[in-house]
Amino acid sequence: MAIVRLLNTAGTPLPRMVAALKGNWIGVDSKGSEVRTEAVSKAEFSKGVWQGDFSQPEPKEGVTISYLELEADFSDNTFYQDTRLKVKVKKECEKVKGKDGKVTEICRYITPSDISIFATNITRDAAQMNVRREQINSDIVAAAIKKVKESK
Amino acid sequence: MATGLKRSSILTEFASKRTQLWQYLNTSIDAFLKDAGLRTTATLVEGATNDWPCSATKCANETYVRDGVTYDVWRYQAQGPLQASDTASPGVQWVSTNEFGTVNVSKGGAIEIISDSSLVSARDGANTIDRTPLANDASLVGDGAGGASQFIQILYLTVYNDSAPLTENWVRVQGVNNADYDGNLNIDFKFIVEQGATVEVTVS
Repeated sequence: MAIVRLLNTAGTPLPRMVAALKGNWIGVDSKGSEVRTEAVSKAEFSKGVWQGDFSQPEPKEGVTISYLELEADFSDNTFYQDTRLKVKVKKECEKVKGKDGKVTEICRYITPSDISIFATNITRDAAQMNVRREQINSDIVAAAIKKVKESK
Repeated sequence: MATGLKRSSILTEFASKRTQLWQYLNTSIDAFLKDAGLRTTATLVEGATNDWPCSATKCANETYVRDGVTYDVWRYQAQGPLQASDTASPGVQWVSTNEFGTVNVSKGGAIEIISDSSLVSARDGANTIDRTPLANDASLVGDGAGGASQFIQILYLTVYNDSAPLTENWVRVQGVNNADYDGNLNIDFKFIVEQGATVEVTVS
C-alpha cells in the first residue's frame, strides 16, 4: 500500500486539485533501451491524496525495472500543467515451491510507502489563463450593464 | 607621547564599537517593528499587460474571529487609472474594467472583504481633485476632457470567484456610465482567509 500526496512548495496539501495519478514502471532491457509499462490503478487521486497499490509489471526477460514514474495529470483543470515525479523502486523476490515441487522465483517492485509530489512544476498555462481572464471580464461587464438597465 | 597614542587607539576602538552597537540596535528595532506589524512595506507589482500595480500584505498583528473560527487578516492595495470606452455602444454607454490581479489562497473559501477604504480621485476643472469612495450614483469621476467632475452610474469593487478553482479570487473594479469618464483608483481593503493559508498575488 502506497500513499501519494500532492503538496505545494510550502508542504501544504492541495486538496482541491482535481488530478488523475498515472504511473509507469520504467526500466531498461538487455540492450539498454528504456522500457515503460503502465502501472495501472483504479484508486482515484482524491483531495490531494492517492492511496492504493499499482499493478505490478509483467516480468520480461532481460528487463530491469528501476523507477516508478508518477504523473499528476491536471486534465480536468487546464490552468495547471502536468507534474511528474520519478521514485526509485526496490525489487523483492522470493522462491515459491509449487504443488508439482517446482521452485519458481516471484518478484515484486516495492515503492516507498509515503510519497510526496511537490507541485513546484505546476505552472499556469498562459494562453488558457488569458481565455479565462477575458471571459471573467466579460461576465463582470455584463453583470454591471444589467444593473444599469434594471435600475432605470 | 605614548599615552597619547594609547588614548587615540581607545577612542577609535570606542567609536567603532559604538557604530556596531548602533547598527545592531537599529537592525533589532527594525526586526521588532516588522514582527509586531508596526512597520510594513507594500510593494505594488504591475502585470505585463493586464493588471495594474497591486499587492497583498499580511496584517501580522491582526486576527479575526467569527463564531469561534480564527482567520488571518490581509490588506490589499492597488492603484490604476479609470479608462472608459464606448466601443460596445458608441456615444451611449461607456464601460471600464480595472484589473487588479488574482489573489491565490492555498486553502479555505473565497476571500471575504471585511473593510474597504478604496477611493476614486477625479479632476474637477483645472485646480481641484475630488476624492470619493466607490459607490454607484455617488462616486465623482472626471468627464474625460478636464471639465467638471460628475457622478458615475456604476462604480464598484468586485471579487470574482467561480470555484474553478476556489483558490482563485480575481480583483476588479467595474464602471459603467452614460457619458465618458476618467479618474484614478486607489484600492485599499482588508480581507480574511483561513488561518495559516498562504496568499499569493498573480498578475499578468
